[in-house]
Amino acid sequence: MTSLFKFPFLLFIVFSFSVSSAEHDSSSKGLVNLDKRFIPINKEIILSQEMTIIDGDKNSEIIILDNLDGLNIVNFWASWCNPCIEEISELNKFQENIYSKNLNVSLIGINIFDKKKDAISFYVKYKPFFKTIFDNKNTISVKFSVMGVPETYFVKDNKILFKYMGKINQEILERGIDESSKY
Amino acid sequence: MKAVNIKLIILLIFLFSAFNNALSENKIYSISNELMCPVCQGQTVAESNSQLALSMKEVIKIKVSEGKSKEEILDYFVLQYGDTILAKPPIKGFGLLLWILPPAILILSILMWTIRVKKNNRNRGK
Repeated sequence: MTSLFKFPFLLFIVFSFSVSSAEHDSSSKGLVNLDKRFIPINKEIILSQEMTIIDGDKNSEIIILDNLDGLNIVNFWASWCNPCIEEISELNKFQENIYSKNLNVSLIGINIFDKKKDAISFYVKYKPFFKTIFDNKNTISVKFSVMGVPETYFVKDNKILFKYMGKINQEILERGIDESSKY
Repeated sequence: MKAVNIKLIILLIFLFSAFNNALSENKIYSISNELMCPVCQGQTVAESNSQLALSMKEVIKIKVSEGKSKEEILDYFVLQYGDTILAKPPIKGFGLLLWILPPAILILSILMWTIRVKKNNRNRGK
């Protein structure tokens, strides 16, 4: 009878343990072991988004972002975000690497949560070497499930593989490319 | 008479469009009130003025204008951000176990305790 009396309490302890271990498991797979700021996503993305190229000109070209074939590194930034300013030099160096090493990767910067005039001022001041675009409709952040800026997404053949939350550097970008090749 | 008819038609079109707008606004508010702002603490999208919440409201507005139903729009956000985006997460799967197991264990414990007490009293009586 005593063992029967203890049974519900044992069950409760086992239950609590399983809940905590389930939470732990979900956050300790794959990339997260390398760096907890890498978040696995694995999601197809269908885009048909009207964007404006930011090139310092107020009347710059409007494009439709609809195809992310091959490996694309998509960096989300805003002009008011300090880590975004700090990572520009790293992203520029990485773009130089893409040119010099002839890497099969596209680097795209997408300005979100911002005013177009501030995005243009940012471009003029910090001069990113990579393709930089402005989200005209302020909706692309939801399509990528962006939580804040800066965030960098690794997209392969229209599938978001994973993202990196926070300020990025060349080492992290190279690690991301290595991981992408496994998919 | 013709002029009056035209004025009446214009008034009706205006009233219909105003009514339609009010319905859409109401639907947008109702949907954004059922979604949690992912970057805020305990605020729904309707309550938040964060940049992300503004983007989410914009997406809701576009989807409502496309004629999508409330369920379709909520499903879209669940697909993007997971079940935790909902202000009232669905009680299913592991979540259902989390809801059911603690009261079940409590009831089971009370039951066991009552049986034990009764048995002890009976033994003392003998």
